[in-house]
Amino acid sequence: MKRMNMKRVSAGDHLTNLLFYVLLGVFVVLCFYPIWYVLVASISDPTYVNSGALITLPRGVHFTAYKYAFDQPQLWIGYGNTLCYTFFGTLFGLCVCIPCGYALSRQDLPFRGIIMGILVFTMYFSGGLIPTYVVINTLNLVNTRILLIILGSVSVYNIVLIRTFCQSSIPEELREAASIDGCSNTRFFFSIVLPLSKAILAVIALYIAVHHWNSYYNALVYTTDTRLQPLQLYLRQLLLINTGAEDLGDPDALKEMQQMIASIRYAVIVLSSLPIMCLYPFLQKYFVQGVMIGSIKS
Amino acid sequence: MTKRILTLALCLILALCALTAAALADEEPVELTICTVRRTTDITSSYSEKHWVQALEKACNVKIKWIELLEGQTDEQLTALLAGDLPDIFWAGKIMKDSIISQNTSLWRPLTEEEIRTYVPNLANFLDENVDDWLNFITYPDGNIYGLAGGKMHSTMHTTQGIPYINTQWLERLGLEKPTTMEELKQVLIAFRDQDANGNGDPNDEIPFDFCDSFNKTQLINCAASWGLPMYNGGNVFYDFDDAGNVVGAVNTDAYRSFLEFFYELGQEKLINLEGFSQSYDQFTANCNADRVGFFWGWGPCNYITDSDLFLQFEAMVPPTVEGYPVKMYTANLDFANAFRNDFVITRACKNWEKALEVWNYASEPTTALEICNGERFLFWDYVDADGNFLGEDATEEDIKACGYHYLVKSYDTSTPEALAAYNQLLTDWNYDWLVGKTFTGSNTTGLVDGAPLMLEAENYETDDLTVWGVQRYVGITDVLEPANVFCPYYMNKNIVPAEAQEEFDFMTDGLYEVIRGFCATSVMNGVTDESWSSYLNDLNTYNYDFYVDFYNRLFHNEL
Amino acid sequence: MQPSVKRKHRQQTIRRMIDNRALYLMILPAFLYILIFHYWPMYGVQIAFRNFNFADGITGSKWVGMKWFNYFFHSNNFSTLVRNTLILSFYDLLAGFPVPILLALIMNAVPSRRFRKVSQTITYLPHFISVIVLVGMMNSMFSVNSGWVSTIVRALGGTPTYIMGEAKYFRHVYVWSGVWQQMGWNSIIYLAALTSIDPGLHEAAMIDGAGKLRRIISIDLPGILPTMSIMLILRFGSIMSLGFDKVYSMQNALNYSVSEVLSTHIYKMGIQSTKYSYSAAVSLFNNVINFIMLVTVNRISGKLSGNSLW
Repeated sequence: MKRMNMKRVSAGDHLTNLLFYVLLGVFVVLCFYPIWYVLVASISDPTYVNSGALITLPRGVHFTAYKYAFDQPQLWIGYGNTLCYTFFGTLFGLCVCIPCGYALSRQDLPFRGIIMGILVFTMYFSGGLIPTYVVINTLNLVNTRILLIILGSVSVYNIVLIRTFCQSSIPEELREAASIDGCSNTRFFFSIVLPLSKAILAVIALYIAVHHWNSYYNALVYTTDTRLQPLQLYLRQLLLINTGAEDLGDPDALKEMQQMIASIRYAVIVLSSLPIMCLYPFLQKYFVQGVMIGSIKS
Repeated sequence: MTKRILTLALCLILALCALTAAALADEEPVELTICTVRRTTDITSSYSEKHWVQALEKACNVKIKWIELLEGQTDEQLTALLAGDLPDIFWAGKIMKDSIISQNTSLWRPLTEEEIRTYVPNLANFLDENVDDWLNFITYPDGNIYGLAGGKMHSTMHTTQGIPYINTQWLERLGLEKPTTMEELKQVLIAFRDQDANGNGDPNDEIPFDFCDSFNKTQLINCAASWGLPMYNGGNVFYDFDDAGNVVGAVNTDAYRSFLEFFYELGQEKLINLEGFSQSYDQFTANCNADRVGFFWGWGPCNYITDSDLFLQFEAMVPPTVEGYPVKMYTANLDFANAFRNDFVITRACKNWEKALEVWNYASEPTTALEICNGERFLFWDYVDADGNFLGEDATEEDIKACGYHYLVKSYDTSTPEALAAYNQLLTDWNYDWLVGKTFTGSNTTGLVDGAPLMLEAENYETDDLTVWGVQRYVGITDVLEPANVFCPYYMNKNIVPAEAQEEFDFMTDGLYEVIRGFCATSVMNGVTDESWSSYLNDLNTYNYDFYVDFYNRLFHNEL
Repeated sequence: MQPSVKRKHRQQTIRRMIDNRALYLMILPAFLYILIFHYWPMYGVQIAFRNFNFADGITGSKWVGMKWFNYFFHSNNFSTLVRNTLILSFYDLLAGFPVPILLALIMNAVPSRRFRKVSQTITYLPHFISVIVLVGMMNSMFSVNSGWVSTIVRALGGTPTYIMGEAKYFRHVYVWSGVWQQMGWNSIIYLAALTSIDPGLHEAAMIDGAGKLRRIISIDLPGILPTMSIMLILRFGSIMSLGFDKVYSMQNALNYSVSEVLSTHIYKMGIQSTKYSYSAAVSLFNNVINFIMLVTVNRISGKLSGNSLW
């Protein structure tokens, strides 16, 4: 394929490629600048940051915010918990969503429309905060790790995405051929569907992992035990520190506090998103254009 | 013989067993589940780690299981908690709103005055001494008392509104006087704008007058005080009092219109920072910190400025007068300005309410209350005499009484390695090993600031050291504003609104505040015309401003 | 249909169900999850018709019928809230839907594999910036006094305006900052969909002499059409539920007239003034509209492109 590309690049294609490079370059710069800004702001004097004096290079470098954050035992507890919830939650979510999404993609499955409707309905109607809490309290799941792992791992949205992907990328003839060969549904799923759906598996894993990594609401509502709380909940609290606090006693402490508060929101982003940002490049290798389909078809 | 000895021995053993059993039963601590709010800056990993908690458990013979809600995110957590298993006690005055109490009265254990006097004498005595008619403050419309009071009472710092501050160094540099009238203020602002007031060589970087609409102490609407309208966005106070003490409309008056028109002119001449309506609190403080601001309304300069040399340049001033109008500022409730009615609420789930009351009685003892709020005495704070010297460990109860329970928070020098080592040693000696080498902020770290037991605070600002937190504001109120007699003689007392009245009020006034704030902002930006004014009056009518005024009038006269 | 045919049909269905019992087993875990965590709490919807308080609980509070709905429909703000919500939502949809698709197509078509990877990673990063910080960043960037955008405008001879302050800019700032923040993240699903396109199609088209642009339009775009339709359907289904955080942090006294939307209203009334029943009623209204939208767009999509949710 690569060879063919090289042979047949016309003048028009050159122009298109150039245009694409320029466009993509603009997108990249647009997205990179703020990231850079956050990084620089997290180590700059907040007065420069908020007065707009900060453009590209750090000014008045200090590490108060990082020092403050690293001093908190809560930060490390949070990191540990988040890793645990993200890893097991993603595992659980994939195990539940992928088979379900595939099964619902099968045109020959009776009542699939009804089941789909039942699932989709819950995207729009929910009991709300209070009844959900009552149910979870009844199940004795308040203040447990297991709840924070499973809650939010299964989303109908992801199931819909998997279903759509399978419908459009796993040809009906393939399954028919397999079933004539005596291949059972389970075997077909494991030996053909899964290898063919690596791209969507990667996307869904990313979605669930990022969702778990960024989620704080479930932990906020369903735990009051600080030892179970994830990183994001703690970081969110740092963001919400009452900046107008009127009852700080010590003026020196206040001074340190003000400097810390102003730069901490930037440090918080760096601290919280660095690990999950690194996940994406690892998953990218599954985004290779339809290598499998061609081989299996023949 | 042996039989007798055996019997005797048996009896002895039995008696011993009975005795130890009785003793054990006596010592078995009572378990209490207490829900409280955890400060983000709290450095302990759990409340049980705090020294005062351990002392409290020992003194009252209780074992406390803490449920710690997270500061700033308590709304959802409290909602969930109330829907599930209730704790024995809510010790969190800041979040237990009157409406939560009055909408769900059967969740709480009602208390009577006798019970409070019998079981919580420390609190009752304190209230008898300092608050007139305190029973009225804590009794709910259904005649019951549901919460015990706590928090800090600012008996002399009795306004929660921002006050005006001007940079005296700027005035000096330009050879100007503190303005007393609005016209004079305008001239001063013009000088600030045109000249190099901050002396940095650039005559164009000054912001003569800055404000920040998203933070209620620094809002522009405070300035309506000069037109005799004591308004305060933070509490949605958009009304005025007439001479008889009745609540009347404020934002529909000609005085208000004239206020808006005046500030529109200031805005057009670039004398106020029009970005104030959209800028963030961080941007506002950045302007202040960069010495670009000459005049602002706010709580106290040290809240917005970190450098003490810079914040000491600011001095409080009387709001400039406008011809034909009195200056009038908003006054909060004198007695209960910052205290909480529902600081300690016992729920129906609590089996041992006498024990719960005992805990609050213990906490309400003056020195204990201060320790609960600020951490350990001698290490984090101590009482001070009239000259501001710490009393030290030798002080007796009489000495403390003589100094009127004045105290100051201690700060330590950590600038040199030796001083730091000494400070760390001190922490270790006090059993605060886990504080060594950590960034922590004084009282917030070890105390329970958001639910402290009831205490008087104002006296602690009586020091000559203006760098001490809050003193600038205190001096401004007592030395500048009070002599000028600007505070509205009436104040909104904190009568409790019955649940039904609150519901009606919320729905009737839905959208009203947005109309008022929106018109204020757009008028200062774009000016007021007869058309915009009459359509605004129309809007006020549609959004039931009359009802709003009447509601507060009835609340003020306790007729709801 | 003849009765015998019908019976035969039913027998066939049962036959297929038995044959595919493994598939039902695959659905079961997800189904149970949804049943427990979504359907069970749904009995709580009744608080929209009751006067909820904690003491009496969900099933014990007094019935008030349509009281809260009446309050809402007759409130002064009703039409403003619905209008603001719909305008902002549709604008967001129009601007936010095509950009990720465009980005994915371009990224997929760029010849340099390394540049493709780097650009994917970088465009996905802004997703992790929290709303509070995003708004703070825009505030300092667009500040008339000191922001660098204003400095550039001044240098070019223009007069900077209060972009974050004036009501007329609110919608543009809200929508385009959102597009910018989410375009990389939202393009991931299209990138995944592009991987399932058969390379043989491209090869064949190249032999026929089709240029790159031509191939993108006639091969890639139809290839991701099913995913596009589903994404569009899902977005229509959340037309009434705008994210609350961002609107709330961008709100100020100058833009109330355009920035008061249903989600901020629900927050102010429900969480801040503890009107649980009222906010449940408004949410229910929202969801009914959302659901109607979803069903309608789903049907249209099914008719037009053959892609539908069920």
